[in-house]
Amino acid sequence: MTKKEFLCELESKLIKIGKSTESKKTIEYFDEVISDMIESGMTENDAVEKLGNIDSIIDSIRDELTTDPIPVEKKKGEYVTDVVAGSVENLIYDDKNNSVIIESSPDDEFHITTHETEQKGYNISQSGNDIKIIAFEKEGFKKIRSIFGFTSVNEKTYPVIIKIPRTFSGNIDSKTTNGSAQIKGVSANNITLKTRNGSVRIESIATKYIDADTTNGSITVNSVASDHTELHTTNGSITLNSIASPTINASTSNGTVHLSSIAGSSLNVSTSNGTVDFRSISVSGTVIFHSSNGKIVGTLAGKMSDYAITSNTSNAKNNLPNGTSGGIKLDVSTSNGRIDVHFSEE
Amino acid sequence: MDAQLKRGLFEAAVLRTLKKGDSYGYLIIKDLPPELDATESTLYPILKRLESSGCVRVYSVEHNSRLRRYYSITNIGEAKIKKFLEDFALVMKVYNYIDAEEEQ
Repeated sequence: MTKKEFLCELESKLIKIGKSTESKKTIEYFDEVISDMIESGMTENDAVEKLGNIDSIIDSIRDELTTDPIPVEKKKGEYVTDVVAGSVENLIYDDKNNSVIIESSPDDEFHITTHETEQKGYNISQSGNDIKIIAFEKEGFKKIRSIFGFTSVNEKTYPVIIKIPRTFSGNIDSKTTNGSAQIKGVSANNITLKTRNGSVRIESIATKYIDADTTNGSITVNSVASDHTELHTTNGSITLNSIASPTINASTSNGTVHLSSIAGSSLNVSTSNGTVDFRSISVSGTVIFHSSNGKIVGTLAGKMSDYAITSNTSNAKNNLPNGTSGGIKLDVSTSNGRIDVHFSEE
Repeated sequence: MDAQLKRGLFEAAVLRTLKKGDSYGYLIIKDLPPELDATESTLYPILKRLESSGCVRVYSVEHNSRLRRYYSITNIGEAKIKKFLEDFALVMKVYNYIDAEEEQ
């Protein structure tokens, strides 16, 4: 077998077992050692033969790649799992009925703190470029629950704490319910935070894309630089301060929206039954504020003539004209609430 | 040899090799004790494991217009050798006990 044939077969078999992310490194390694053997005087055939059977190479790699990090019990029921940042690209957290705190690590490892309770445990696994933190319900409890037909039992919960190394530049995907989600002092490529019946707090973050989603909870964002920001809740307020983000889409219902120190090119805010108030808003492309049964008040950067204004409300005063022809599109609409928008240079 | 035992010996031996200086796949094999029956294929998963546990660091160097990956031992790797030697000091005590029993 030639070197080329050997490497092709090895690669196609690695892809078949779902280790395509590992295949490049593996191929590079074997390419290098075959070249080194040939350089030391072996024939290409002999070199490939010395490596042995491809299937047993695959088997040994498969075993090595499933070695999971080992949780260490620090206090009764409290486990800390350390993972070397290495090639980790995706951090995935999936839980129910719990809060999560994601913050920066003091060193170049991930440190994950989880609690095991009578009902619940966590599986922390590492394969390829992924770390997964997955909550599971203990079998014994699941059985009892199915016999007696109840859905859950209140027990004390402990938030999961995930510390992210500063060197990390991959993706964070966090999903829980009935608990809050907090992220602070982290940089990442993509950040997704989802919860239900809990608040979301995002602070001191640099990222390309951030998506926060909850229901029955507020969203608070402070000091964030992001290429794209999506924030959605229902029955909760949204508060944004010090945001530099070309695109910001924020929506809630039955909640107020407070905005301060925002820089971007597109800002789209909508609520219902809530006030929208804002100051220091500097947007170059499009500003949209929509509400119903709530007033819209605040100050935008520049002069009124910088904006192309469309505005309307009902049963209340509106201080904006319609039909100005500036370069920035400004669309303000509500009902049963006044519109009172000012401009910083007037 | 028991697979688990062999893997522990293999890892510690690779770390010992790297303690003498940074090295690359083919050369590491040449330096390892022959009793380990190490080949380029069996070395690969060991290197992967040492890398993912932070015991070694990897960097590339150009050689004859191709890249060679060099492995370098880290502090974690040095600590791992120390731990291995401590563990084996205990193993040797038990070995001596077992060996003495055999002689009787």
